[in-house]
Amino acid sequence: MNGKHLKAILWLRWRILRNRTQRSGKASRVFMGFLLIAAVCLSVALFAGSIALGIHRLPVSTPFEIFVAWLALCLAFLFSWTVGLLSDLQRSDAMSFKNLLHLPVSLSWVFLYNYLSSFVSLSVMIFVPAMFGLLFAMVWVDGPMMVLALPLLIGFLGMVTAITYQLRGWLARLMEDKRRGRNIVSLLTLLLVLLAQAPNLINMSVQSDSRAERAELRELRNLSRTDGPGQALAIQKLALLEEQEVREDSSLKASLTLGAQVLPIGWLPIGMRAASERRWFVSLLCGLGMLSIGSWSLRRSYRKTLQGAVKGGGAATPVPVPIESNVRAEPSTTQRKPSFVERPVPFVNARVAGIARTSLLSFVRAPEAKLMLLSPIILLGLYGYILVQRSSTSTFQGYTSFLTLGAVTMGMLSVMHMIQNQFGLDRGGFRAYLLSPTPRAEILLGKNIAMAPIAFIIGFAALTLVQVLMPLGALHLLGACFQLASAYLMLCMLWNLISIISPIRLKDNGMKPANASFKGSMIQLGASLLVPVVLLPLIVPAIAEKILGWQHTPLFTVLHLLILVAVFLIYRLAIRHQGLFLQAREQRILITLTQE
Amino acid sequence: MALFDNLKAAEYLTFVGSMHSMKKGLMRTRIEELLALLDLEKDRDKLTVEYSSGMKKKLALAAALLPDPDLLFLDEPFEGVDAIASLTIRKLLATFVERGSTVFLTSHVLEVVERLCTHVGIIVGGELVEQTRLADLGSGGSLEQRFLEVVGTDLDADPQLSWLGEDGV
Repeated sequence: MNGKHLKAILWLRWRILRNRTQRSGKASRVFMGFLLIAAVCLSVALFAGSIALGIHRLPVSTPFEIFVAWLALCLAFLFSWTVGLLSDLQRSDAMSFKNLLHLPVSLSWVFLYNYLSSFVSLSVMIFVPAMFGLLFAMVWVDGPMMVLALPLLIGFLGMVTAITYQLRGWLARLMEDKRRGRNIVSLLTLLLVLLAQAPNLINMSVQSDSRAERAELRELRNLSRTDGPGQALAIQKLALLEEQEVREDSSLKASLTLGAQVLPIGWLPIGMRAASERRWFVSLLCGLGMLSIGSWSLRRSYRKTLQGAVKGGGAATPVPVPIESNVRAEPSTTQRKPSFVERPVPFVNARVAGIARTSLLSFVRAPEAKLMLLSPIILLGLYGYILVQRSSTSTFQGYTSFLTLGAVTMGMLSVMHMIQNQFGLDRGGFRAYLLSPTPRAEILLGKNIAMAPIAFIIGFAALTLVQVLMPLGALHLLGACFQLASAYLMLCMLWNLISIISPIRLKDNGMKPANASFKGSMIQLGASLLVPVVLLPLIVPAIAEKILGWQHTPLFTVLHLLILVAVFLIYRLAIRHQGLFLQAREQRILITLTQE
Repeated sequence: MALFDNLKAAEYLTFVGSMHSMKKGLMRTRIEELLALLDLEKDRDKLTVEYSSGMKKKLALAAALLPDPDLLFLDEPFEGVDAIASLTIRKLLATFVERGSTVFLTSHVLEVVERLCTHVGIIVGGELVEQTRLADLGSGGSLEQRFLEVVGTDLDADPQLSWLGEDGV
């Protein structure tokens, strides 16, 4: 590789980034521009801040405080780096070796270039100057000998980038299988969502603990200051608590140090602490350790890349000729069990059953759809857990009947994005419906039946959670089940309409809209906001029960049963009209779903 | 195909030209000629991710021809390509061969191979089982016939669908 090659590859990377940003729309371009400016400002501020703070604070800091400062910087960098990596891995147009191998440049140079280009990231831009700033402050305060700590920083960056590079290569090889690739992309998205929520969750959890502790301490201090029968006990308790706090503090310090010693990502803070104590051997050992891991990782990654590049070439083992593949298989005449898609569905004809079963099967096989279902459930579980920890069940006392509507709504919201754009999920497969002689109302009915098990399972799981927290009577639980069915039918009517009016083409490997217009997005958003309005009648039984004070009568259940019957009759009527509407607009829907 | 999703045709060709250390003026002239010849001119503002498979084939061929190589490896070059572009490519390859260069192409369309190639090789299950001059293939037999012989398909078999026959169910 010569300078011209490097220049060409850098130009290529810049063009890809520019085109990708331009293609993603004006709002995205503005956002990217804003992000870049903010990153530059933050980078400069962190660099200057770490120098100033370092020069000001380092002379009075203990080695442990220096360790904590470096640990915090490392963790912040790693968090940001991982988020960037996960989001980058989801892109399909990342620079690939295969796209460069036909060019006059050797594999080793392409490998090296790709590795070096992985340094160009927002995380490096923001946090690395801060790290160098802190190191500069250490040199300023402790003297030029601290320059010896520089290999530590280089070793850390080398190790993190090399391991990441190896991981990327491994994932890229796994993703060569398209189906597995889709699963990996979905999993990465889920990880990204969870990781992005992690600081919030930790913060909420820590806040709840420390709040309770602070309140207890305040109470004990007040008691210990005032004369009274409880003063002696309060002083004794306070002393015990303070002793416990000191113990916990030293235990936390020991755990942090041990963790940093064991995990290579902690070797930078350990090394910096050792350097500040003039224990150069430990510092050097940490630097060497990280550099060795980085080198080993890069070497292994290169070997795997090389193996991948020559695989299937002239040096590969010849593949034996599969003779049997030339013999035409005879159709099987033996009786076989009906497959999943052939089985009937109670109360509907074979056409509707076929549509329902194939839609459900295709849905559960799509990793992106599974992910869309999983994300709200996991997040709700996590937030629910924290909320339950922080508040007592007495808060909800007397409002159990209202809580069921919340649980039902949660079940509905989990499937909302799937049903609200139900033809979008079919993508090009929508042609099959358009070409079929099936009445369009039956298509809608089949699709609604397909998603019902998922909506009901999630809704019922949420109802079970309510039941665990605030036990409902058997009659109320039955009423809540009627409520669940009514809610699904009511929302299906709305979502069928939105699917027909505003279908949105989805990208092949995910749930992201491919060409959503502003109007279309607004309609989808408006429909989401309409969900509580549509479900409003379902609160009537709970209100009636509360006003009349008939909590121990079957009023709640009976009213919900009546609502279900009424909703079912309306649904039957509505779906016929919606079928005709679908027929009138199906060509337009097909164009929207298939046009690039 | 070794294309990048988020590049335009001219951008991709410029990149390939730069990697081959081509002079800017020459590169520009050749890119314009190739885009015009392969009918990619009108779509020059589109990104390759928006291209049809035929357009992608044409762009990949343009990239291969840009540095004026002596040897070309083409995988199914006519797949998804319209009749006019197919004729253009055939003529282009013929000129390329006439001046002494070599084209190595793989194809499942045996008529194309018969029309274009001087030498053929038959690969079955990843193994090269026959390699010969097209003229030496056999007395008057077509490439398709020879291919079927080598692969071992039952030529007398008469595939039928049960419901299409006279006694269909």
